[in-house]
Amino acid sequence: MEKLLIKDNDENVIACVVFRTDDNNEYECVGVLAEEDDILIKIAFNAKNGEIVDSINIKRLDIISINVLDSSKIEELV
Amino acid sequence: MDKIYNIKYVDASYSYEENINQTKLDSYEAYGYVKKNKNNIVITFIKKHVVDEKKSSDEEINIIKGLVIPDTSLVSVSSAYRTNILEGININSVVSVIWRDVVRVANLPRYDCSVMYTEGILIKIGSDYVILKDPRTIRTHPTPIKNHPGGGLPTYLVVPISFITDITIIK
Repeated sequence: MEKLLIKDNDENVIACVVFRTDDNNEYECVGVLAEEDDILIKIAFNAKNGEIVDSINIKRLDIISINVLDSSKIEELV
Repeated sequence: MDKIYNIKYVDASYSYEENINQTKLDSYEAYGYVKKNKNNIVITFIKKHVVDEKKSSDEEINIIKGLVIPDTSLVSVSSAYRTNILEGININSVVSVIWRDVVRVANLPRYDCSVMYTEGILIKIGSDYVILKDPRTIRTHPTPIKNHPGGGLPTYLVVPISFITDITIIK
């Protein structure tokens, strides 16, 4: 999977990820692609005063699909 | 695919510091799938992936990680919230406060916020929050009733006014 995070871009990359866990269940999550390397990606769900407080690290090998969302597809609830 | 939301909300917070200089509420921003349940907003961060939509009718078992927030915690609602609930309540009064709290959900079929009962000294009334000194809090819903927070006694509690459902002077 190609890397999606552009370090010098201030815009958040919002991704929907479907992944498999060791128990062979499949899950999906949505959030900000906060970090990525050759082994893991980090999806952040929740931030307090700009600092991440809820996130998940997903092994690249466990990813079934990843879909980067256009910001126009995301509704604001403020 | 379910609709995805960006949610901006405020939350109550405890402090364990000797002094508090808080001038505004902590601000949160979350992404997730959203469902409204009466006056609660259920935000799902992680859910089971169900290919067959017919099998996804029972959402309760599908939420793996998420939040339940009061609908009054949304930034736009909290900042514009107007109430007379604090009328006649003076600074330095010992008060009891009933308030709704944000809940973190993990593998639980929770669709409503917790209800808290706090006694403490009202030391500040801000535009959208109050601060209680030496708060003693119990969670009254859901049962069993238990002390809150779990670890140690906080020195201050900051509560959004929009979370408060009742406040009474004890002395």
